[in-house]
Amino acid sequence: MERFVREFHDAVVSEDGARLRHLVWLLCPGAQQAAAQARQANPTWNPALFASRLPAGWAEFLTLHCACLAAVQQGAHVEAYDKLVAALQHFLKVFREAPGAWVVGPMYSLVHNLSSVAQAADQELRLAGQRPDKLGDCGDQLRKCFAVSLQAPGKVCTWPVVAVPHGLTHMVLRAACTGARQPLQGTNMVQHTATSCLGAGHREKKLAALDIVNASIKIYFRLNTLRLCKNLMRTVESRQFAAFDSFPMSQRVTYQFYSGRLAVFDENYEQARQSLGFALAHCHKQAKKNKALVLKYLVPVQLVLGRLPALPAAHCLQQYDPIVAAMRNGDVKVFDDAMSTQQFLFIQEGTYLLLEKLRHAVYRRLLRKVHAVHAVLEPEKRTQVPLAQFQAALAIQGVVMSLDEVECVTANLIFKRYVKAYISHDRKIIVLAKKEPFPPLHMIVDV
Amino acid sequence: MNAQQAAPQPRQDDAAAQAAYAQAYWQHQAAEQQQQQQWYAAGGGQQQWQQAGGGAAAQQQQWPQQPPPAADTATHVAADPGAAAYSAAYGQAYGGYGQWQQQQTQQQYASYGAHATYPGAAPQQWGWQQQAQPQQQAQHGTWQHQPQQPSGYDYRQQAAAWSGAAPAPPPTGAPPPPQPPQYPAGSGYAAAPTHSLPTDTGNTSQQQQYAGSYTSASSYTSVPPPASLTSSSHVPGGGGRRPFSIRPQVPKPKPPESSSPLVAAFNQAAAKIGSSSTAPAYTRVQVGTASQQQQTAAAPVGPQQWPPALKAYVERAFKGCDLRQRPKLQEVLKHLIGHAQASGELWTRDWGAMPLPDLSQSAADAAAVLAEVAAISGPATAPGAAVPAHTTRAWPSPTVGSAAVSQQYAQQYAPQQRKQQAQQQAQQQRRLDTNYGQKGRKRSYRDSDESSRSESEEEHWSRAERQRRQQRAGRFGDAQNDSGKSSAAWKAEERRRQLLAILEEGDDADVDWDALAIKGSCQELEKSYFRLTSAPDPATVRPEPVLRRALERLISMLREKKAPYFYALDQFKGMRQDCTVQHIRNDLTVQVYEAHGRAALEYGDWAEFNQCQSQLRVLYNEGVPGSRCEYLAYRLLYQSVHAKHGELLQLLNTLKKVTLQEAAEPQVAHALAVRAALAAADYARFFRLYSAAPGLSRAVMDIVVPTLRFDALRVFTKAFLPTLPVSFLAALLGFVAPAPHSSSNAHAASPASAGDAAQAAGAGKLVSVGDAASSIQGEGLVAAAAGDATAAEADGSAILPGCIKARFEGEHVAKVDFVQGCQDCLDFVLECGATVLNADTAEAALCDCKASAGQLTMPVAKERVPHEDSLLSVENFLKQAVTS
Repeated sequence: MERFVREFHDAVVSEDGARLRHLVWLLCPGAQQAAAQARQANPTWNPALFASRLPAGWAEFLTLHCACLAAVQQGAHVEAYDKLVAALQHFLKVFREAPGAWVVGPMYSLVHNLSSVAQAADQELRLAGQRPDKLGDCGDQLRKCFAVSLQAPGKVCTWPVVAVPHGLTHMVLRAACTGARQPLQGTNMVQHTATSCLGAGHREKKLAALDIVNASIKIYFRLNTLRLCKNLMRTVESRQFAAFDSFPMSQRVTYQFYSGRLAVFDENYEQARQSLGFALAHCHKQAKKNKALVLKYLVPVQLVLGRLPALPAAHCLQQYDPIVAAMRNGDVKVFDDAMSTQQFLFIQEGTYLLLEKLRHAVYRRLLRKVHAVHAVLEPEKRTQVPLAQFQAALAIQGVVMSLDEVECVTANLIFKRYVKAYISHDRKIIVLAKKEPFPPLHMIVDV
Repeated sequence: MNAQQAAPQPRQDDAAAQAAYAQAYWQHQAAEQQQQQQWYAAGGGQQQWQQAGGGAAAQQQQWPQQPPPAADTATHVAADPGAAAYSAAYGQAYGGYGQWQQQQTQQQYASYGAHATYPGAAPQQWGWQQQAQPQQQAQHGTWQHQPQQPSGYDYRQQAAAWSGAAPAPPPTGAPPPPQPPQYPAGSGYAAAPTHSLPTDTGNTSQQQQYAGSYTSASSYTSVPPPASLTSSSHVPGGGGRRPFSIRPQVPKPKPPESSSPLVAAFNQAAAKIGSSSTAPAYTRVQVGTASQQQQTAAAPVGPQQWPPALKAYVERAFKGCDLRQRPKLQEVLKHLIGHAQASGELWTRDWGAMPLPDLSQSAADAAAVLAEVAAISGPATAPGAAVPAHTTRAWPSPTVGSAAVSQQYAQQYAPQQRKQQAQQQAQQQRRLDTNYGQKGRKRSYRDSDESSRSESEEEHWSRAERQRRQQRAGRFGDAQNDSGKSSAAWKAEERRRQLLAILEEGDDADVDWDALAIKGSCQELEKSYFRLTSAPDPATVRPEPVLRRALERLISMLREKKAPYFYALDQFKGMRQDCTVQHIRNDLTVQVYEAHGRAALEYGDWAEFNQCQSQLRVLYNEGVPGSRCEYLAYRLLYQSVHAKHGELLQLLNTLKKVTLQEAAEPQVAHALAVRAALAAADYARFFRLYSAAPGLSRAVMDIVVPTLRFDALRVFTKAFLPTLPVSFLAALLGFVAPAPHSSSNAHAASPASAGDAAQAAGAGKLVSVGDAASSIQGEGLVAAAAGDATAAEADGSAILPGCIKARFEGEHVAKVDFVQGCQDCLDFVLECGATVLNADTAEAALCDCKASAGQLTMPVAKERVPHEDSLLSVENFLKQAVTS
């Protein structure tokens, strides 16, 4: 214990953010060991005794943090959570007053400690038959952290000090999106580099914000309170926020992953594709699990946009195989079967409503095949496909539909511009456009 | 607590039990042990006396043992006996009084009672008497030999006398040798009388010592004396046995009901005021006549007692009143107190906070206004919780003798010093408390603080704080209490006290709120909803069995079509409220909400339906059984039809929670199929499902029908060229019931696909994927529903609880008649602004797609007439406005 406290003390005094981050981490082996030993030696062990030499604020923090560690080791997660929240208050005070950016490191750790302990506490509460509300409370605490980190004084850095190529393109994109900013120019760059060097310490404290946002959004997803994400994302995209590219890549990837998922719910597929694409492209190459996770949401979006992926088996995305096959072949029956057998999976993953939209694409593919066959059979009347033929094609697959329904489906295809055509009700034919009757999917989806 | 458990039902013949009861009652108040000893001495003594006095009089026993209105802390007050017992005893005592009165052979007692009306003034009286007639000694002597002389003297009797209520047998200046009172065996207070009585004598002598300085009556005011005096000054030695009476200087109007105890009290108060304002204004009256007068005035007054706060109030009123208005004031106060008595609030009302009557109004009006004020402010004073300090009890004690008190009193007894005095007195009271060291943690720290100023400030603060808390607690005071339901008022009081006690403890986490839930006692089956603005009155809340019967009654009324929706709405809301305030969360609650939800759905009251279904969701999640699947289906449908308007995420969440088992239920499966049809914009399938909807699903689907039809029209006019037959639209969009002669062959489902459907259903798939499947399912349901409906209409058994009809037809029900259906469809198409060819004959009408495509508008929804009352229709109103 002595050693751990000394280490902690050294890290605080020398303002070593990285080391402190490690020490404050809930699963830090040194801290765990120290707490366990101290508790074993003396069950009524009081960490306050060790904390007396630390600077103001840190002493109280360490006391509570150690109490939290002890509680976690005893399996009392609810208590641990309460201790952690109390510790966080002291830390936030220190964070607000500390001049340097080194406090950002421990903030990262604390935020993650908080959400993991809150989840464990909720589990405990649920087993005890009580109302699990710690995760919600955790969201509130994170909001507090976010406010503190956002209000860190210092000039807002609008542009990054060092812009990596991709960062540049991203910035240009953002500039284009917001419309308020001038295009990036050399002079601007120099100017901002200069300003960002001034008061660097305080400005850097803002860099804790994105991590907090990510943790919050994660919690909101878990709590199904997604509407709360909107405000956070609006803040991230505002000028008040530090430049997106000045954050660590890992945090940017996480953020883009969530913003992509949220864009799906807004039916903003192009935005979703971009965000999820960014996440996939910049995900650490060793992080297979994360890549699979990104792909799980990226694939349906790409499918809706008409891009059929070659799914590598490595990412465990077999659930999409039949769907992709159905889209390739225009096989409505396979599609329906895949959807109904995997319905639970898709609903739980939140992709069901998205995948449902692919049905039109499958119909279109089938109609296209029918059209091709018809063109061979009757070259001179190739644009006039009898609806009965489409109905027969569906029946061959095992999907029985009345002609009225076929008309209904076709009318929807036409209305949604999947097909350029019109239906003649009297003659029961669909008259396709001579030129490009089936425009590419990605051209038509955003209607 | 113990007092309540041993509900005070005094038995005439059991004085020992009485004493034991009183002991048990007070045992937990160790802080006032010493004081109680005196008290017990008095009580025990009086019992003896009463036994001597006769059976009826013995009922008075209860009164001395009533806990004084000013118990010290809110935590004690819960021990007060229930109001019912209280008032019952009141009646008994009152009734018994007459007998007792007859036994008072000495009329002088009455005059003494008048004399001693103001215990605080006793020293002065004594002083006057020192100056005065020698006769008194003689009388004094006679009194000493009264056969009914009490062995211990009850100060409360004195208090009663003070209000002019009861002529008390006077104690003598030299107390008679106390007869040893009989105490129950094992009583810890056996030594009490010997303890207390010498003190009294000590006080007496001291008072006599001081008496000389009190000879001037100029310092005498009508301000109520500090409680320590009110209750402690036994005036045992009094000496003031001289039969004279203090009369007001003004000709006192003879109250018509001179027999009323109230009037007697007023007379007394008025007498005092008169004497105080024109001091030294005592007139000597012939012994005989004066006592006669007093006797007549006091005659019917039972040994009942008035709250000290009320006395203070009455005095306050008289003091602030012009002499000429005194008769009117009397009237007003009589009304007021009569009212308070009738509603049982005599002891609970915060007299200290009552405004003085406004004499510019008529007497009855002024009293009514005041009664209202009292009702609004609520029976604020939980006895002892926040009684103003000058009414709190402070008992004489061996350590702080009443001589010291009276000295202090004499020094400070000036009107302008009243407040200060009250503080000092409170301080003294506290000293008493702390001297016995049992006031608990909260007060003990003040022991060391001897600075009177800071103490008095502190005391002031804590009093203010207490009052503030009181008010906070009082904001839940129920305004419905003044209907004379004293027991209800008392229960509300009780609950409030419990709550206060819990809040005092300050541990929010462990509060068992359910324990504080009220228990209703109303037996009415019919109760209108009233949005509560205060704590509910248990007398108007129905308990669970009554609610069950009320629900049954309402459901059968709906079934028999005897109740219109707005009546049912009112009733359902009342039941919901009763469930809520009593914390009932069981199958009954679910039944109420389900029935109301169905009724609302049937009528189309979406606001109420949503309230019900969100409550039901919580209840189902708590594991309360009910028609879970039915409401899951409604929920799914509701979210599906509103999916485009922000319910998509919620829909996803709901879908996530649907289990396989639930999905296999017909109604849920139907709802899921509808959701799929809506997502795929499959109009034909939607309307087939519409016609096959089970339960009240059609009501939810009705919401989306107009939009869906409009969307369909838009899609079709865009997709079809050159024309679109209206008959085709009519079949597709559910205007025409599917019939053989319809142009579509929608129901040509092959046996093979039917088999598929069965297979799919067997496999527990959420959505019956193929149209065939749903159509088969739909047909089956339709047939079943139709069959049920016809059978059910006859006996009414298949009607869902809360519904009027067995089968909900829906607003957009398809017409069986093909031509009629086509006509409806044509009307709709025309309403949307489409160009129609051949509009004369509905069946042959053709929609010109190219011309219509760009000019379609959503038809304006027809207004539902509010409350089914055509007089409330906006159209009707406008029409009338134009014509007139």
